[in-house]
Amino acid sequence: MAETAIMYDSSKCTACKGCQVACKQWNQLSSPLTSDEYTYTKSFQAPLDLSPKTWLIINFSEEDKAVGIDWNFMRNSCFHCTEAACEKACPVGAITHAENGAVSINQEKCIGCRYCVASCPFGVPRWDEATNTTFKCWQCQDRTTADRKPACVSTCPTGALQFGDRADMLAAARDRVAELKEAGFTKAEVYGENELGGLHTIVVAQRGLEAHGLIRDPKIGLTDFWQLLKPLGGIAAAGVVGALGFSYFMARDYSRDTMVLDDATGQLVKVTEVKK
Amino acid sequence: MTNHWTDLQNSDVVMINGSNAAENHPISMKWVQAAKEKGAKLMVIDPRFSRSAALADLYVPIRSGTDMAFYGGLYNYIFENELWHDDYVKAHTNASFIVKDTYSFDDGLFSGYNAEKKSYDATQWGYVVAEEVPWDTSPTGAYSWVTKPGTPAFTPLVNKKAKKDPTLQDPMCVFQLMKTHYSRYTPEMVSKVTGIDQDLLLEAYKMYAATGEPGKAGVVMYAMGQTQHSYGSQNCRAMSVMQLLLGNIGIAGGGVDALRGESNVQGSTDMGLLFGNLPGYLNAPTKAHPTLASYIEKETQYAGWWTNRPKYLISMLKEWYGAYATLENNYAYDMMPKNDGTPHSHIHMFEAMEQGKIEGLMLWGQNPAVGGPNCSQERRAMANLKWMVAVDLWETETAIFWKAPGADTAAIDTEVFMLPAACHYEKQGEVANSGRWIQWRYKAVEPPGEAKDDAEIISEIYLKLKEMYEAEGGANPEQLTKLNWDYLDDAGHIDITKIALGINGYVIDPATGGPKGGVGLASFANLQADGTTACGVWIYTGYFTGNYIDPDDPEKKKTIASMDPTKMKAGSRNNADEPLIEGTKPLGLYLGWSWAWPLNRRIIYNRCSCDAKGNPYNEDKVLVKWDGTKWLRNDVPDFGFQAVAADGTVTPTPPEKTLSFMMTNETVAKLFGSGMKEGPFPEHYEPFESPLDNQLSSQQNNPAVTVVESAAKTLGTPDKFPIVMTTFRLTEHWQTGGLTRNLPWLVETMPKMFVEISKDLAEEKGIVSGDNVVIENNRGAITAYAMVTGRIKPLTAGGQTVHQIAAPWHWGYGSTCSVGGMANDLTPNIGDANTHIPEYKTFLVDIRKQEV
Amino acid sequence: MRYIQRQSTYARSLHWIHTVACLSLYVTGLILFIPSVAAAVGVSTVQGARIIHRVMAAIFIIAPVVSIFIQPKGFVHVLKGWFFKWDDKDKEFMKKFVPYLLLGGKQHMPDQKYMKSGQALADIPVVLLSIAIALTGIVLVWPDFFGGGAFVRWMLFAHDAVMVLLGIMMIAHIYIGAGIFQPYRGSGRIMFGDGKVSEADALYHWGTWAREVLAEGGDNVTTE
Repeated sequence: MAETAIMYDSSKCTACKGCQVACKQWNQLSSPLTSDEYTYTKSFQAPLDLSPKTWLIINFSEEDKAVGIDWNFMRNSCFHCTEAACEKACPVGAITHAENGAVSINQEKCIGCRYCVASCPFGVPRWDEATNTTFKCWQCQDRTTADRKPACVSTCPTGALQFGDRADMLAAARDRVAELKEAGFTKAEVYGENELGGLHTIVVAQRGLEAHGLIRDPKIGLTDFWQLLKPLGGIAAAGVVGALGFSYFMARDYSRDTMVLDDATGQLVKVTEVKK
Repeated sequence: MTNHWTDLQNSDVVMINGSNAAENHPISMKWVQAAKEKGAKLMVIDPRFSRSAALADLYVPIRSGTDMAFYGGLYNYIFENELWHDDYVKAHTNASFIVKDTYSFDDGLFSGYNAEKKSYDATQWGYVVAEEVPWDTSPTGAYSWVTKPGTPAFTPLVNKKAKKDPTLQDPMCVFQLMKTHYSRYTPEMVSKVTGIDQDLLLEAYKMYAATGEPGKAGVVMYAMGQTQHSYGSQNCRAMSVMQLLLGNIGIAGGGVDALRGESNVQGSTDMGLLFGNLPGYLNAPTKAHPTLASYIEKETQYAGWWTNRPKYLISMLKEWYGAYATLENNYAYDMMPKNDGTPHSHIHMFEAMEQGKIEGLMLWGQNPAVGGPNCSQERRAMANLKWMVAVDLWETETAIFWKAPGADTAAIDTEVFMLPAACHYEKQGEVANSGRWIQWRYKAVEPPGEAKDDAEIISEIYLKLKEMYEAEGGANPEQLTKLNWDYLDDAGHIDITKIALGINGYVIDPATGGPKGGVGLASFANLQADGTTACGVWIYTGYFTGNYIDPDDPEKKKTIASMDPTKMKAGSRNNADEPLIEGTKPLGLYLGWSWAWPLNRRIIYNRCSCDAKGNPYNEDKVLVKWDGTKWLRNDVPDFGFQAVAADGTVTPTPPEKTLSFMMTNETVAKLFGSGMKEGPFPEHYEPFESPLDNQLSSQQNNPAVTVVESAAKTLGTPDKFPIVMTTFRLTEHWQTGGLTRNLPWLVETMPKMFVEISKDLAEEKGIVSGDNVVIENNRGAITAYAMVTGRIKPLTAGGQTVHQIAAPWHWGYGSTCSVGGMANDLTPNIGDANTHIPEYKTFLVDIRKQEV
Repeated sequence: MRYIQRQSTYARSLHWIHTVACLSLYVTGLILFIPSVAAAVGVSTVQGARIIHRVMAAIFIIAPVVSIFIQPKGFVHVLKGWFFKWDDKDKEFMKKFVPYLLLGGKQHMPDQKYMKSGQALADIPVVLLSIAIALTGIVLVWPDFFGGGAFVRWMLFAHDAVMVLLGIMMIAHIYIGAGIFQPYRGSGRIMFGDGKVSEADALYHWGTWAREVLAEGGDNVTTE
């Protein structure tokens, strides 16, 4: 199976949040039932953040101008990194890559340690107290393996979300960026080609990465280094054990005379002598 | 829409004015984006920066309610810079018609105004008649049907052909009158009225007027931002005039595209849901039409296609009353109520309710307690009802109007019945979209519990009423008891396919009184005024007949005797986009996908895509084309392109004999017309509540509007209420929220009622985002969360700073999931002069931070 | 032979508690640290291990803290032991210790006070690392409270890095303290037994201290 990717074209997105709802519907993620459980977000962005029950939101950011604003939209969900920090951090192997590159959390195996939560540079996985497991977008693998597009993509009315072979998505994104640049969006960029070994969510950032809140050149060095601790720690422990073994070997025939104190003289007096 | 959704991709410039297409018609943006990919420009004109504006190449903030000034300025710009599509204007409009010298315009008023009646004598705006041609009713004449047996007797009409000056030089020709009229709309003046910066205004004009170049296409997408004003109809007319000047009607990528605010609202108006309409846009009879003959004589046009109006009325009556409708009883015309000549719009209905003139109210998927203008007054009016029946999916605010905030529940005696309805996945039937496509929608699941299909509910009520009238009698029982109701299946339940066939129309089998051969008619051209055909909605004729077949295919005459919707045109799902004319490019017409009224035309007025000789203005976007001997066609022609004799001989109609706009008496489009209540040219007036005096004339408001009593009492003035407010909808919610505020998934995406406030106004009032604010005027006060944003900014208009605020109207008190202030508690119940659509979109308020 | 009471019952109890806590923290922690182990034992075992890890961590942290309040004198005693003045003997001891350890304990070591200089040098980092592992551990129990993200990522790293260092120290501590190292044989009794050390071993390990205690006599010196 070839690598696949979702392509999000921020220039075509109308921020209708259809993807947000389709995600919740397909994955049967609940929303609160009473008015009191909702808070005013002071923004069109609602809910404000991802959660165990919200795996995708559209982020809204406003940049004021003399006439109108620049309203920058961004699809906030899992990027399905090739070099996935969450997968590396997971101590129990609950996070895995599918053949097509999608990264998912196996709830059966998840122990709720939240190492993935801490490790993801994008802050995507979210821990759920009730089930003590962590959730995130899994690129609707139940759909994609049945030759259907992820729920978010299939609901997108404007074609801002596409799904297909990663190579095709990248090519389309590059073409779109070229078009946008020609149309005056000089900061337009493709995101996801090489980041973290290549993402499986490709983004066309109409007004540049920063405007859309994307992390330029995300790093997971600490997670890598942390993982390096395992062999290093093993080697260090083995070294110490080796050194002490050597010590034990060297002292294998150790013995010493039993010496006690002569209270009167303050000298040590040999009581027994060990055989040499 | 004159065009349709997929056609938006063919535009060169898309103007979205008074619409938030991206949010309220999400799919539209798919096609706008497709156009943009080909290099099209998108312009969005709106007081507030919406998600549509977020995608625009040019955003033009405008003072709410000043669209007409914007268009007037655009006409003037077009005239000044000679950018009109000259060939189009001469060939397809009434620009050359000479107007009678009784026409005049002075300081905001046209000639013929009666201040007391607040109405005009439109005859003062007529044309100079060059020739009068009586209808030829002889057996070989065009109007021979008039004398056919069975046709009711009436006086045949006389075609009055206007005097014309093809050079457009005559000072009394429409073109010259128009130029003069709009010369007052200078960029300085328009900027002053609209608050649009003059440079930005000219940039917008330049961008859009560029579509006047032959071969270029500009489309205007509009919705309630244009229509919900006391001059909303004139705004629509203004857009049409703009499109005509630029040659943008009847072409691919052009058009005046009304984005209908609800799924199937197009279908509901097609069905004649408005008080002044019968199905198929026939006017409802009034006291001016006491007899069938008088209706025919007054309502039938003397030229063009509407000369056939009697055929549609009589066929409709035959469908309604079946065998009971005979020539002898005027085809049951007398069964139809005659309007007393006063308006009975939504506003007037609630006014009458408040005055205790209405006893009962049946609500079908309507929630006026939240959606009506000045809706707190409507809630109070409902307390005068004896009974109410609310048919809906949820318990709406209207169904519980008696426990609304502030209602004196104990004093309300209204008995309310709640009937659970099936939702659209739980019933089948046809749905008409904005592009006039009629698509069959199938039932996916059974309705839950006691919920029923609306048609079944109506049928049950009807059958019970009939039974009661037959048993007990009553006033005019025949109106009900004689209705043709052969829409039931063997079990006595409603069979929607039988209704569909009745809507479609058929030749009446004299033996059974039912459809001859069990099939529908393929074209309304076959409908008759002699009682031999029946048809519920003439413009739908053909939709419920056999599947789409290539019109040039000899098989096309094959009719399929079936009631299976999948085999009908409305159920047709062929999504091939292949042009029929060899060598032309595909235009997304999709003739094989569903069926568009009339006659599957995808772009109406498509004769205008060609010049007088039948050569397309744009060879890359060919709809129809005269090849020298016949018409080649990619779309279904909107003109008589050929005549078929009884023996089957086909005679193509040469270009010079075809009609550009066959629905008008003029048979061309009207830049100047006598059909509107406020005058032949659209003119700028201020909203009834405006912070400014009219800068263009001393006539402040639409002179043809009458204000109902409850509205007059609560009008506000800018000294007390200095802030302009407008309302809008969000993509996350739908209308009054009856559906969406009960669905947690949707509530979560926009949980609370809010009001958008500019940073300047917020600073002035000491408001920050998240504060609770009170918005009030004479009609009410609501609270909402403040959303302080750069998306809305104050404008300078008429030499002063105008603050505008905007709030959605989705919230109410009737949900467990999401409740909030009702914006329509503040909107005025003042309607447009022609349609009485309320002035929801511009009114005055004051705003303050809520004291804790 | 005379015996000196080197550790009180209280100190030994605390040590026992910490021994159990530490070892179980290591066992349960390593299950998470080594993915193949976690995968092999299965989710429920891992979850059980995590619960034990937290319970033991609580004991690990609470026991010494509580002891400070119950036995402030002992705490002061330990502190004093760490912060002594370095004399020539201490320096000589440190110089000789590595060859002493590696080459079979054959060197003659200078007399030491109650707290060997080497012991102090080992204990101080162990205590500091223990505090570090406790604090980072607390963050990991409530990551959301501490804001999550990069900070928690660092804490995660620090917790494990400290664990590796502490582990190394622990191995050495056990090797020497439990008397696996031949010259220290018998030391196990001090913490794991009755807390007594024979006069001969005391003189060998802590010559200066042993002479002081023997000279003092009293209840701390018994004859068996």
